[in-house]
Amino acid sequence: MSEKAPDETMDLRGVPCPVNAARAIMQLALMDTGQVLEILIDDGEPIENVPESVESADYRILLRTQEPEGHWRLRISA
Amino acid sequence: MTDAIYLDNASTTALDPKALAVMEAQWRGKVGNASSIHAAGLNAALELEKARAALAGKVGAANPDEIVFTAGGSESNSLALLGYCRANKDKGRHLIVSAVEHPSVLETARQLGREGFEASVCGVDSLGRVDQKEFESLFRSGTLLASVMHANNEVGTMNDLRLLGDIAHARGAVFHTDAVQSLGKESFSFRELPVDLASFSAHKLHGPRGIGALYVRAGTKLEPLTFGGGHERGLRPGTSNVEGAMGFAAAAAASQESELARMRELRDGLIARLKHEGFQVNGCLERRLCNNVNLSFPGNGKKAQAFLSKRGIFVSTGSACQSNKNTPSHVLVAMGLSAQEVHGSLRVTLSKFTVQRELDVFMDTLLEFAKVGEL
Repeated sequence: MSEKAPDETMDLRGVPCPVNAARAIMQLALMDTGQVLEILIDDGEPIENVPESVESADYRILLRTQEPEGHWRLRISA
Repeated sequence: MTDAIYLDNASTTALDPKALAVMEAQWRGKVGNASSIHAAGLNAALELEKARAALAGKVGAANPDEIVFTAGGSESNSLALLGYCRANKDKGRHLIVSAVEHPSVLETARQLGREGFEASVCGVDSLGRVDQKEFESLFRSGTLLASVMHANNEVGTMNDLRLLGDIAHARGAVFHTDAVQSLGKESFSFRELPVDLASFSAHKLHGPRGIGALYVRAGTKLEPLTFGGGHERGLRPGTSNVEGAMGFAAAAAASQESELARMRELRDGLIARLKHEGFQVNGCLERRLCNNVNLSFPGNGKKAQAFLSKRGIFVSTGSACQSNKNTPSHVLVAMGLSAQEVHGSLRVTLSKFTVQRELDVFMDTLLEFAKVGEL
């Protein structure tokens, strides 16, 4: 679990793959190393693909939790 | 034709080398559908989203999601009018368009007429500016949308988007502007302007043909015109034109303020010389696109165009979408020009690549045409 509050947040619910991952990676590229981006993504294909896509771009997932409504919250280290 | 003098840049423009370079690199080196979830797809999606973000920045959109890629300006205009009116028909059935709009707005308004909507056409003054009082008077209960172009494609006259957009909003309508001619030639920000929908086309500002965009302010409800996928937030299904979007963004980024000032100087010099030689200049001189000159003379514009064309100088007698029809320019007619002034009109449009020598050759050749008695 990451205790650090996110520096940036993005609500990517409703954004299809792989555009959701692309948006997250673009935002991470704008952030300083060590800063934290929090994203919200849908269940299903997004949670199956976005973490791997983000990690393939050399970013680290700090937190991955499913919210009661069904969507997912990811915290990623830039 | 290496010595050709191309002065028809309102029709289309030469590709900027920077736009060509980014597109060529993508075409040659990469494959990937921006909707595929593998790494190649992700790379394509990244390029597409970078282009979207760059264009959003260029037009002052609050969010990249407000940029929807299309195939060009005509499609953007159709999507704006048809998409908004169809999606909001429960709120009203009336729209307003100006008399000097591009055919893709006027014909779309006619299509909406066939679907049970009613379109009012707002007149313009002798300089091509939308008549504010008439515009205000046309709104009524159930007016969904008003569409007024930012800059006219034939005479270059610019409308006041703040004034007209505020009027539309005060009467509960959304405001659309066709900004195809002004993007890259005027600075504006939709964060500051009362505009809900705006149309763009890449090839008018040295980008590739076949791609455009529609700015859709967040919360503006549209119906798509085509179906079959979730691309572009469901508004424009179809495999994304990633290379086109990259070229569009590169071309938009390459347009510089200094080039606009230089074009303005060239334009003003040409206008001064035309007036000195007795030609009439049509449109507004104060609020005018930096690259547009529209002139009339007591003769035949089509003959002048052909005379110039044979000598490698390319100008237009109206918009490219209309100049192959034997109908008079609806723009000049709406401005109240006489039949002869319309018949004897030419449009000369510069680009950032235009140089003084080319305008000198154009002017000398036009005078030669006059001398041989063709005027």
